[in-house]
Amino acid sequence: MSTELLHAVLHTASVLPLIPLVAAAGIAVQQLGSQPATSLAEADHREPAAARIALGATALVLILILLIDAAAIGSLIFGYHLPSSILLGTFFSSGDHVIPYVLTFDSLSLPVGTIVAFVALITLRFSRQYLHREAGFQRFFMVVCIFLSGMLFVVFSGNAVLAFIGWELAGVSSYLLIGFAYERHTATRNAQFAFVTNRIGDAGFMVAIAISLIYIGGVGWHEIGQHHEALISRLAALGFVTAALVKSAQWPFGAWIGRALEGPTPSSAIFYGAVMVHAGIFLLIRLEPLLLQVPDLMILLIFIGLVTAVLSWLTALTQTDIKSALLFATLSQTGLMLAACGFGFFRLALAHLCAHMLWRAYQFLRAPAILALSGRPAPPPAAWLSSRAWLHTAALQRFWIDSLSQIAVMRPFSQLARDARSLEERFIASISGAPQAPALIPSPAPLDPLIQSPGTVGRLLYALSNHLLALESRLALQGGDTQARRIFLLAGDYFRQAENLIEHPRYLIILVMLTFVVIL
Amino acid sequence: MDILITLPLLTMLVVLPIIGGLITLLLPARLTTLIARVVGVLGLLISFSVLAVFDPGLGSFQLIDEALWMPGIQIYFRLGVDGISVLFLPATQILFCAVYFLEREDKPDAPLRSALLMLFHAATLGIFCALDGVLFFMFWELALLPTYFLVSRWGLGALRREAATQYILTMLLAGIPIMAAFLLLASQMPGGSSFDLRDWLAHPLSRPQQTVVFLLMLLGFGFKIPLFPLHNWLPVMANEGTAGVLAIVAGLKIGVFALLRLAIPLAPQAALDLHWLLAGLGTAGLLFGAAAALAQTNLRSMLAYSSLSHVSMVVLGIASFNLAGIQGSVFQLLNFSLISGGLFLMIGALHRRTGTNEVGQLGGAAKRMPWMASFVLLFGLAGMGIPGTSGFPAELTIFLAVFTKHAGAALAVLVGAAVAAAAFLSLYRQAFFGPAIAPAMNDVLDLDRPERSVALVFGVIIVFFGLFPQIIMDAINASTHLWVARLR
Repeated sequence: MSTELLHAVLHTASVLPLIPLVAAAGIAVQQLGSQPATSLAEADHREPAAARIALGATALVLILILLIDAAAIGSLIFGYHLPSSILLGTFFSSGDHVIPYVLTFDSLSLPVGTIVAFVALITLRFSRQYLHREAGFQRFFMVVCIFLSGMLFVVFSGNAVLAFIGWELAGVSSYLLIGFAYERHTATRNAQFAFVTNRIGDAGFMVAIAISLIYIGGVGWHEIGQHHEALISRLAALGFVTAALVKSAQWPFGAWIGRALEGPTPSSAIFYGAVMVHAGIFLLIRLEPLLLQVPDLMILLIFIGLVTAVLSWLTALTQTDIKSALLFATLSQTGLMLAACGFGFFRLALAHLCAHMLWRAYQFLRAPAILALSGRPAPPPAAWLSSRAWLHTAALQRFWIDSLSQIAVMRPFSQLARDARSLEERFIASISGAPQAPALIPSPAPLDPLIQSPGTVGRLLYALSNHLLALESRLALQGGDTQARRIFLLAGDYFRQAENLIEHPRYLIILVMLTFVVIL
Repeated sequence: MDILITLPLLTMLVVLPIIGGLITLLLPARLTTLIARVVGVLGLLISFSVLAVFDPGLGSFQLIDEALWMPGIQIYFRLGVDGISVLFLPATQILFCAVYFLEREDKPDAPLRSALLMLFHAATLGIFCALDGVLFFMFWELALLPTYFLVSRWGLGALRREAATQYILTMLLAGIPIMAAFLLLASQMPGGSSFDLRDWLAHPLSRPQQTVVFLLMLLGFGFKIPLFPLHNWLPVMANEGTAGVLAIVAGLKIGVFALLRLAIPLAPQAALDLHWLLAGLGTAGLLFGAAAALAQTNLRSMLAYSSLSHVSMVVLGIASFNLAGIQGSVFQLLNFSLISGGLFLMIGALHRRTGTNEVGQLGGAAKRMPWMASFVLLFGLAGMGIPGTSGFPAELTIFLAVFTKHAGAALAVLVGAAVAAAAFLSLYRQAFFGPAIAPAMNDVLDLDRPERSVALVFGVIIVFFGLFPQIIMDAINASTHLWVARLR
């Protein structure tokens, strides 16, 4: 096979993360063009088209990846050169910050990419029957296409920004699928919780990208890996690791995943069973050269991985529904993978990841059938566990991760929001003269004013005209004594309120942030 | 192409809506909608011709139309664009065109309303291409008048008159420092007074004068931007105004544009000295806006506070005074015209159907109006800077710039972005998800054909530039380089 031909094929094939996106757009256009179905027959008639687009795109992606796989194996056997990364152009650039559109085809991305596409294909094929006549059939296929595109970006990306694009696309599609049954409040509330938690984790990714671009000079994986400046590497690694831990729901960031099972079973299979929950681990394997420079962070990974594995294992033992049990079993496996990464066995983690993806997807997809066929109640937890009441309770409560995140993150922010609103309503609005509801307008001044208008501007004008009037008629002193007293009393009131406010813990957050803003 | 270059395209662009407005007032009311649409589409075509003849390799002003306007007092009519302003012309045109297509009511006062909108249209375009201090100020104040009447007469809220009064009083007051700064600049030009922006740029002031000019302009433009704590008019207007006016006021950030065009390049030393002030106000607004948005119960107020948060992020980006900062900011400002504008138009369409934007009275809108729900979500995600939408490259660039200059404020950006995302999703969930049992949800219809087309056009543009952001970067590259070079 000539090298030119090989390059041409690779170049064409490297649009593959975009193929599912195009399919998603296609399903959307197909939906946009049609009115809501009026009869069941009509809806039935429409279902195959959406499924066919999604399945076709996924099959195409899988075939392309298999072709590249074949070329890669061939290069090992016949010894010709196969480029490991394909540069397709510039995604965008701003001055010195250049972000190329570059994909990587190496021994890490090809096996994982093949399995991702394969799992997506069988899941979609399964959903075609499973979701038949469900509301939102087309929506499901569209969202899974977006998700597949996101995962392909994560797996094949040649730099951190492209991986981040995929990371977020996966996050958005996960939001849409957890909230798939949008008429149920729990589903949508959990979707929102999962999305916002993931956004907070993504902040780490953003920081890592910024550090790489500014201090390392590029976001390519090899550039990040080959940088040898302890502080920079450490900060970048910390950012990536935070994002990875949140995405793979490791302890103590795993609260969101316990609430994420609201989506239809196939989506649980593909997101939390097989694919998305492994994205964080994949990222860490990808960053192997970077992590090896930060040994203390790797020790932290071992610790977090083992804690996650043990806690999830205990939790899994006490679950009474099959999806939750599988989910926590999955988490305990990802914890082990994380620990393997921490010990430096990245290839072992990769092998574990690939095997686990396939096996877990199969288990998740089989779960509804097992329930339908067996009809047995869930087995009771092991005797040694139920005999230790404290441990059993803790496992049943999922080690209070959920309440912890509520107390640590959600509550302070909602309180801050309320403060911001009251600040606005009580001070800023009255200074700037926002119109009040009629009942609240104070009785007009006894003097018939020349100008009457709300707010500082209005009051200024009003005061000005009054004083001019007063000056014009005669110089007169107004009761200064009482005025001054009133001002002091008012100021005292405000100071007392300010003191009360500072005692609240959430202001600690503000103070800490303020310190950061000032010193950095 | 050759013919296009000889035409005074910018003058045509600015004058077209004025002529359209006059014709609207003269002709019978049933032609109003038609005229507005013709003006919108023609303007869009002219703005595309501007893009066609614009040379992105040139950093300085191009397509200059210059004429002595009032010979007695030496006032010139000078229009021109550079890479920073040129893309705002099609953005303005698309937004106004969308408003013309969506606000179609056959009331007897429709011609007056349409004519006022067109006056607003012309003034906004004038602000983006004026190259003369007096002309800029004239357009700046001219934009206030139609806003006042449109809100006070056709607004949606019960307090629309008070809101409009607050708005115009605030903005007129804000005009005083701007005028003072302009007069100071003009008086310092060699060879007598000159209001030519190019003269102003060529002859920098002394340092203390720069400080005065910068502070005056910051105060004056600060209301319009809006900077924290001068922002209160925005949520008030959001609650009381019409969707169309709001889409324009919140979508086209002419305040920040004026900061970019005038305040910083005309007082570069002062701006560099006072970077902490700009960054501090940006950080405060970013966090405050996001937190306040989270506490709202009304979609419009939430959008207004998110808008404050977003625009503060842009100000923070500008305050880093590096290339990434200015490029990201211009990109993000362009995004807002479609994202904020699109959101306000969609929420306005929701209000037209249900009579409310209070989330407590809504719920389950996605069931009845799947298309509206999809587009609102798409625009909302774009506002959060999700990759795949044009919000992402802009936000990433701004974040890089802020991280380079004020690393601590960059952490605040991340916190603010997460809170703003929570605010949007929380109100979106309450309004659009859940069972459709609210009385407001009886018999509502999904987006009709024009609304769907407008939303689709906005959505396609947002996704397109999310996938190919380099097109925007190439267009603004030369002028932004020049902008940064001026600060050195």
